[in-house]
Amino acid sequence: MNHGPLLFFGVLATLAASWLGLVAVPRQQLGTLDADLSTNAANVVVTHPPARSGEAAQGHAVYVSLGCAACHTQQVRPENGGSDVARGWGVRRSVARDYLRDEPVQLGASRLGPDLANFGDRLGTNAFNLVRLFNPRLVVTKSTCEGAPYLFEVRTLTGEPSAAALALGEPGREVVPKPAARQLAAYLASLSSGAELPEAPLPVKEEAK
Amino acid sequence: MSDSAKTATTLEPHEQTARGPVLYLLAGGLAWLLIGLVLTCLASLKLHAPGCLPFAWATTGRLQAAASNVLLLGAAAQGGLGIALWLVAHLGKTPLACWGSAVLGTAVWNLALTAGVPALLLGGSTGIPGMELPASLGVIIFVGYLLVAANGVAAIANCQRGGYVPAQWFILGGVLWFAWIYATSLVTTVIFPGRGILTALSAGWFTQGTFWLFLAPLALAALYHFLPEVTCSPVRSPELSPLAFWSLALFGGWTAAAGLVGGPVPAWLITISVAASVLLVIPVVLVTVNLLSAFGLGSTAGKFGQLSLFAFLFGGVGKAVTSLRCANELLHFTRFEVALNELLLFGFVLGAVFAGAYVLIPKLVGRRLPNCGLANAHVALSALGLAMAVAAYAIGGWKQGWALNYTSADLLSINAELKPFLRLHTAGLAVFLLGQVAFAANVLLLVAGFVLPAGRTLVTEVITGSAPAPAK
Repeated sequence: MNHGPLLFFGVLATLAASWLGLVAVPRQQLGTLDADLSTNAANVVVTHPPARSGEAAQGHAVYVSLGCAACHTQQVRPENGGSDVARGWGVRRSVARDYLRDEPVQLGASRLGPDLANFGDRLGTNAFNLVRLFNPRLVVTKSTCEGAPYLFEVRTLTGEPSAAALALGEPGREVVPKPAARQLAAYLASLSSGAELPEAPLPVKEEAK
Repeated sequence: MSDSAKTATTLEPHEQTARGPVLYLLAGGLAWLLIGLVLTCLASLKLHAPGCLPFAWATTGRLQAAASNVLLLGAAAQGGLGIALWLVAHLGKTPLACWGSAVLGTAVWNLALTAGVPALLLGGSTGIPGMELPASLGVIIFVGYLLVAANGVAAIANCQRGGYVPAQWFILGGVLWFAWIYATSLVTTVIFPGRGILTALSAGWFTQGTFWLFLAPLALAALYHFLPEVTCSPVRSPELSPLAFWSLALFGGWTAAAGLVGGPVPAWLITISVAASVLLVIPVVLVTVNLLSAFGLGSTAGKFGQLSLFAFLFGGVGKAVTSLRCANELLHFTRFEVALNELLLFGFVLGAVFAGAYVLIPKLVGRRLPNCGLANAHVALSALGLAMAVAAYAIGGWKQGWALNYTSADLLSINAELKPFLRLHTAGLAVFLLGQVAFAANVLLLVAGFVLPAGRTLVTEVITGSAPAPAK
């Protein structure tokens, strides 16, 4: 341990090995991954992950900027490793291909809030409720989500109410979403990664027998 | 104690060169620690009081990102490097080749980080965990870091005594590893990000590498040098130290995907990372065997050193256990993981830095820290606050994970159950912060003693209640 050069090359070699193994090789393996093209029942080619609308793509930037990933994950663990599927957060585990449209990916590391990988699916056909972004506790009383009131313009009602105003039922005051609020809502509604992929088949349901 | 306010120690000429940069780095580290802890406290507060601070600059995510960057790249990195620069000059009996460049580097680094805090709070985050700072600021910090680190590497290369001691191995490894880790990670995450999930992998390699191969080696260097000195007990089984170093070197870089168990990355990556996390128990145990000594130490430095060593032992073993798939299923995404990170950062890394700082500051300044009470308060509040915060998140996180994974309780009621633990955590952090304020006050008293000799006499009189030292 008294030879400087030996120490130097040892230190260099150990790090270079780990960089090759954990950064370079995965790039080789996953760097060329492409969206999956498949034909659905109506003979239409569908891509997975689907391209996002412009508004939803801007909403991704809002999500990143506000740091929503501090409390929300976007990853469904496999059925044999956690209750994610049982909780209805997804129908199958998340795989690398699901994230091709996300720059940067927002995997998250904390579940103080629900997983959002398939949040759009849970909304069904209903549009995302903007009131939840303004103040989550107006919709879910016990919610611990902090909300984003700064994405809305609160103004005293003088003439005709705005068509875009939230239906809060407060006389003399209206709350109108700013563009960022609509973008974030569009992004949240676009979150869906449940499509069947070659590497991620949907689990066979017992009752289907 | 005022009769011993001036220590007899004089610095060797080669040690004189380290005085400026070391004091600057330690002062910078302290300032960032206070800022980072205030941000952490606010972020923690918002988890149980979601309605407070309803501003875009104060979302939990932004506060957390700013806090973690300030604490890692500011407090821990600068504090650790400050101790390291002193050690390389002192142990190598060699002056810092160009200490002015280290001061310049620290200044550049501080400027970039100062710009980084508002950048993150105003929404300029890259959104990549661990690498949130905008690319331009990251590059500037990297340049500043290189200026500081180059002095350390040069001093080790010019070592004027027969061989290297463990502290020097760990410092050489740490400063070189971080230079490479930070440079390559800046390229692979924020300058030329890979597609999709690859960015998350590179970011994982950065955050794990920064801890195991930069902050941990710097902290261990401080422990290997100062713990035997302040506890007057030599390193036990010193033949194990090279093994501790090389096992850390071998496995430290391989834990990139340890935070992605069950995640959307190839299974072999996760398996390797879990294996590396478990194998890292080897250096953790070897270091503990080397440095563990009797309890009941009088000096403040010794107490922080012991705190640091135990935090390393429990945190390191905890990391290994929670990476195992069975435990990970329960504890992943819960507060438990945060508890381990806080134990390792606040307890292990900062504990080691403080152990060094309590020895170094009197040496470099030529006077002792003026107030014993504040030093005792610093130790007591740090240990108490850390214990509260870590216990709250460890127990709360365990319950949270159990309810999430093995019961059908809905998320709202799980979070309601978690609330007392979140509150206790905030209280713990506040106590910890108070401890650091006590330390900062002590440092300010020391500075005041220089700036205002007359004022110092008064302050010492008021605070210690003893006779003031005769002014020279």
